Amino acid sequence: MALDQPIREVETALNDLRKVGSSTDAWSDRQRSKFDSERMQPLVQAGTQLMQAMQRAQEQVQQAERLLN
Amino acid sequence: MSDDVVKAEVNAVLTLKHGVEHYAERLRGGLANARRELDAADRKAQDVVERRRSDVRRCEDQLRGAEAALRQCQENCGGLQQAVARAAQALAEAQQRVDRARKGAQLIAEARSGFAKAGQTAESTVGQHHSVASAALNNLEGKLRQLSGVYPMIAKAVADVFLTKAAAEMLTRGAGAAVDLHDVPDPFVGQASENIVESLKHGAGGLAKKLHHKD
Repeated sequence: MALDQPIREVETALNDLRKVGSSTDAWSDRQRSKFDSERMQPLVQAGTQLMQAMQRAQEQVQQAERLLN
Repeated sequence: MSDDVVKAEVNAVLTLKHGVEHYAERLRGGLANARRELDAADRKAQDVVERRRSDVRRCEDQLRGAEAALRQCQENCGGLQQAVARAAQALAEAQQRVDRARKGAQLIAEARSGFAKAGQTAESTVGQHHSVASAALNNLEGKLRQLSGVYPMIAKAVADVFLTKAAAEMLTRGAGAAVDLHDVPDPFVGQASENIVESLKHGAGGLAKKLHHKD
């Protein structure tokens, strides 16, 4: 399918970013929570929305391909 | 509070910085790939529409030919009438296929357009937060490295039996640097150094008292 690979790329990038955020053992819970809400969450949200946009586009392309074949 | 804690903070900051940069790169890569795939799907759809149109033109020619032959026929024209009917049927089917292809091409054009907007929004958001986060993390890393250089000197001076004013000044400078760090107008940077600030202030105050009693 056309967009399978980019969707996987973004999904993997999101999972890796979440792991990085939770692996900083040097931080206190308060520091991590503050960084999470102010920096990580907007980045994660942007990636999630991008992935959803890719999935919608993928569905439209699949519909189109049925009409084109 | 030891130098190890500051070094751990530096490592945490570096891990985050690399993680955020890598994430932004991969998102941009995924976005570029998706755009390429949609562009390719669009070109393919246009090719199909063009082929279907070509089929329609061919069927129209065949129908015109069959009708012309029938007009010229004087008798026993049944076969030619059937040929006209078949040509008309073929043309109708070709028309349906080109209509379906146009709808398919339209869907892909809508997918591209919708994704283009979503992609721009994602690029803008990631770009903004990534650059702010990276700048803040670079700033924090630099200042933490300065602080991590202060601790070994202080530890060495304090280990001396005779506490000196130089040791107190050094500790105070370290506290001053940490206060500057705390005042950086970024909530993450300030938050991350809070424990260092408090610890150095406490250390500077305690050492100053000891020197005062010694004098």
